[in-house]
Amino acid sequence: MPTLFRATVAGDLIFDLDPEAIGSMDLVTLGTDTYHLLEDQIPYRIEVLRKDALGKSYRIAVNNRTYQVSLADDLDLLVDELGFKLQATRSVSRVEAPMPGLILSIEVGVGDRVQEGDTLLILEAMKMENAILSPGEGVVARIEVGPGDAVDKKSILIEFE
Amino acid sequence: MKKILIANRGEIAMRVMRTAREMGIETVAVYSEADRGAPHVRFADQAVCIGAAASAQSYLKGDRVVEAALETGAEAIHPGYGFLSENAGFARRVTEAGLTFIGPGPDAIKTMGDKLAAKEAVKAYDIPMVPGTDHPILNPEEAREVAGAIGYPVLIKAAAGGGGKGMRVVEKEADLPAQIERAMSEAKSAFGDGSVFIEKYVSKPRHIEIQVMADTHGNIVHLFERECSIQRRHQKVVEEAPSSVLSPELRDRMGCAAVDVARACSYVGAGTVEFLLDADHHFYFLEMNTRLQVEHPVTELITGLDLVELQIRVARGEVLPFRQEDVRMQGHALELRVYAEDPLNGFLPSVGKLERYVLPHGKGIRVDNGFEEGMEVPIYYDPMLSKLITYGENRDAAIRRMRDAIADYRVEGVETTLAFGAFVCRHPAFISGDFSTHFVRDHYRPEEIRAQREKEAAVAARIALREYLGEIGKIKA
Repeated sequence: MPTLFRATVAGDLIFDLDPEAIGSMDLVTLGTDTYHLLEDQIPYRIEVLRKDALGKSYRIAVNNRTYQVSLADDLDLLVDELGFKLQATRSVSRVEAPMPGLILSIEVGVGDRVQEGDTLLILEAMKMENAILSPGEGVVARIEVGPGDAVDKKSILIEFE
Repeated sequence: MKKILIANRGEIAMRVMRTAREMGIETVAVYSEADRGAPHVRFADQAVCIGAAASAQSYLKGDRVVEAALETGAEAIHPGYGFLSENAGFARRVTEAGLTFIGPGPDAIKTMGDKLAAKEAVKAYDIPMVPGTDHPILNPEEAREVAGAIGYPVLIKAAAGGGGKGMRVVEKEADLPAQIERAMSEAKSAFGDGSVFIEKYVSKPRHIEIQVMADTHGNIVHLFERECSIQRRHQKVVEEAPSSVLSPELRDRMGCAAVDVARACSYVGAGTVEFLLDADHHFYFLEMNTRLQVEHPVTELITGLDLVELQIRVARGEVLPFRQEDVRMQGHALELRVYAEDPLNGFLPSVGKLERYVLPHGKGIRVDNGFEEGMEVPIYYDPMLSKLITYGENRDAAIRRMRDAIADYRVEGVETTLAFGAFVCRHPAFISGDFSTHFVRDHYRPEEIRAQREKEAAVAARIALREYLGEIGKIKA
């Protein structure tokens, strides 16, 4: 039996769990895959929507929100760690469209040095103009879009050196 | 009137059709190519495709809408809100085609649609107004002079249109040039007219509006107020009726002022007169919306009236079936606009597919909804999914019901304002009634929602592990 599990929830929240402590939850079974949990006197409504023991992947609704949970045991973590070491990571900093929309204007040029919070471009989505700000300091290397372009969510807009 | 065409989409098209059907009137829907699968198309007795996805090629094409009405033999057109609802040219075209426009006359729309003409029209009635410019401004330099003369902070607004578009607050002179440019550009792209006007910015204001209803026989009544102070980006999210701060005496004075505004433009049908209420409970006329409002259900719940039914009866030439002294209000109603927006990320639109979509139901809960599970939230239109409305015998009961209804509303696939609504309904400032249109700036703490979600995520993690251990236990056994 592994002694440690790591749960990644909703892609970015990480919890290290002790399997011994799982049995001590104050849980009442309501029906098939539905539970009522009390924790620090606060109730949680729980429904297990999908379970995949082989892939260690679960979808759990807590109150009225659904959380995707991926589990990893000590062995999985060890494999992951090795994988990371092999990857020669080079951090490329770029700005992606946070939502689909229309590029109205570009406020910077290639070669410009920008500071965190500087306006890079204006994106119109659902009738609103949104200023897309620089996430950090850098020099603009490439501008992938122009005024009038329609972009999808996660389209690359600007890359930094 | 045997058949009407509804020149709109989403929840409001469904809302109007529901009442029409109850009155024994047939309904015609119009839709864009993007909306072929939308519920309003299936709900109607007939449906006509009027063009491509973009609003400008479908829902804003007045000629095409009129043609669709003539083709299908509809005798009247209900414009809903947004789109063509406050377009005087469209109202005129409908009438000229021999059809009935369910709304006010084109002249009233035109006058009230132009904020300066509106102020001119109500001058004779002694309606209090916020200090500001008396003409539209297109020159940034002039804007600077005017703003300086009024004194900062000032509010910049698009001269044409509403809905918070092109609206900016400028705290100091240094910020003006950039803000003016943005406001003019937004006004130009939203309304085709970049001119703005500038007025004194009232601090700690509340947004209180009065519902009015007028018939073609000169009768005008008001149906009390709605409080719409909980806003983000100058757009309403939570509305209620009645307001927690109006005394019967103030309600009466604001109601009379609203009726005067309607009289000033010979108004017919359902309309809304918007006021700002300052910290000392002085009220100022803002504008009149010459259509059914998004938030009309709260008025319906406290008065027991069906505003769409009244609109249709007035359009048929009937006399209003009641007088001012007959109108009573009872209980309290709350509305939350459920937008596909992320309240943890600056209320940016959150588009995607509704993987799961289950509405709450129960006593005192009404949902005016335009979406179904499995539908995509289209990027072409306003991202409102539905309006969640609750009613209770008093304000506390309505708030409690709203909290429960939000908890029972299941949406997966997009982020929504439900979490924001839950935050509002738990916040002491909202519960006590001590808030202004700055609620979001002064009180909203997205990190509290985030902390709650982290707690839930931790629970989900442990439940998942419990399931997993149970499963492998079984396999081994």
